Amino acid sequence: MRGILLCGALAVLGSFSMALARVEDSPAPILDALTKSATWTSPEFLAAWSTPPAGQTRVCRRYRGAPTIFGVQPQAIQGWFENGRLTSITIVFLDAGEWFGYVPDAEARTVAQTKGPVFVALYKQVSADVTSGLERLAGNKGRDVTLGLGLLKRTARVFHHGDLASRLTLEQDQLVKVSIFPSEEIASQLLSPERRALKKDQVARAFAGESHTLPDGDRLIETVPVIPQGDRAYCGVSTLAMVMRYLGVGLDTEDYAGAAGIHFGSTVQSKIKETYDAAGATAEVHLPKTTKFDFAKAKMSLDGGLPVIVFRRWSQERDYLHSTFASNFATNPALELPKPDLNDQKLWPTKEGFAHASVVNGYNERRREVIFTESWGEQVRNRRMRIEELEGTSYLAYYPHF
Amino acid sequence: MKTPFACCVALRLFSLFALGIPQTFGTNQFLTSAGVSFEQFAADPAAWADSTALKGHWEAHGDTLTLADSAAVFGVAADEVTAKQRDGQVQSFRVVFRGKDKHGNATLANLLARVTANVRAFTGDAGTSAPGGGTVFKYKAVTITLRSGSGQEVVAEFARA
Repeated sequence: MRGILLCGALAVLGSFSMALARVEDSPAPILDALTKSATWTSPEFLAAWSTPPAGQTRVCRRYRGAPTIFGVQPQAIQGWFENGRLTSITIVFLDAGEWFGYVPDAEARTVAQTKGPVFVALYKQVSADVTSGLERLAGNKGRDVTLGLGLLKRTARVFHHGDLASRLTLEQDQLVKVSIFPSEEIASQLLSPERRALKKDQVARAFAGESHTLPDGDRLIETVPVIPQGDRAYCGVSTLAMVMRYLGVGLDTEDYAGAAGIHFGSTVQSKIKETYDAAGATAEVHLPKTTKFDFAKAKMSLDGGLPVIVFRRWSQERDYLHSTFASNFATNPALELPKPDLNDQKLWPTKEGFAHASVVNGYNERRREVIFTESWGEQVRNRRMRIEELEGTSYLAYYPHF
Repeated sequence: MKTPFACCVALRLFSLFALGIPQTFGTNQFLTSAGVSFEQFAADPAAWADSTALKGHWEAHGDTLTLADSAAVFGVAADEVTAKQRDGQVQSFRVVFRGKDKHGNATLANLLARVTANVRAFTGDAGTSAPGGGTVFKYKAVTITLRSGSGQEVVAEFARA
């Protein structure tokens, strides 16, 4: 056994110099972080990540550098931190949503026809470069693992390099992504080690402990990570990624987008509901839905420490009111949202408005408010809306429970 | 500067039935160039007293300056933003919103109520009746007067309190 390990280690060491010398012009510490776990705790490396939001224990931070890895400049590098400790790194080399940007339904066909072939060629090149780069780094071709359920079921390839491991995700003509983990065992699973260590009743208790009642009457889950969707039509999958990360599922927004069939930047004919069902199964959580936000059901989930996802009608103008109110409320808690009377209801977004998804992570029953968070960044955490307005503007809601 | 509500003049460019909205969309040139929303800028007379040093891009027509940038004001796409100046000093701003239905036809339906709700949210002031009609809101060092203009218009005027 030791001999095998030693041979493997020598092979890996031999391949490091080749792989790194070939591609990396920049001496970015991220390159060391592909093979050396010690880098993950070095002050220099940790300083290269975006500033973490105050008071959050589980956060997604962006790497500030723009290195070239395997001859490709990644679109994004994100790190997942638990209580300040880096637990995994996600390198998105190519994502169709990022490359195409937001494509309105009416333009989807034209964009696919004109820009699609360029992207397909790029995907072919990037997927080949990254695959061969990882193979050089590991000194072998890795091994295939099957992950996820339903629409999320995928074969990914796991590599071992240095004292770290990676998982390569290739979604045809959609996504090239590498996630780095502390061990091959973690790379081969979707549920986090912490989540897998708990039995079913322990899991429910652990999450129930995440829901707190504050002195002002807010019942709040404060530890849902925010994953910015960027300028992509990804609100439905980013909110899913936020809740699933909270539940310990190690998939990213791009994985859910690929599973849902958000193709070339367009959500036309995407399978969001089926992707949600698959995510629920993968997270080993029940995920019932209603076609209108039901506060009683939401309250049960939230009291159990489980955030609710709501799809709703959205307008720029109403969003302004919610944003402005949240900003002012932070300094003046005596402020009140408009009463949800007939006059106010006329101002709510209608079916002609945009569709949008938000995470409901709390409520204040006395004030008749839900507390919700967007997949736009920390600045839109814990916004407020009247329960009646969310009931009146929603068209789909998911209520996780164990 | 990117914010979720960093714009809205180009809403019509996007399908109304899109399943998801991007994090930012459209353009709000004033916000991009000034780094602050128009209403925040206009609520601070110290920032706009000198008409030669106004944030954004303005075109002079006598004593009237017209904002050349697109701007969302109180979360609503403004159709026209002008400033009145005297002796090189801005006296007031006038923002005009013109109501349109989904087909682009002029309509006042709910426009005044929509703008009013957002002005209330912005100022935290319920507003009082203005002498010449409309509603006046106090915020920091300015008053904001909202009234229905001619035709299908709503006008917001910023003046020193």
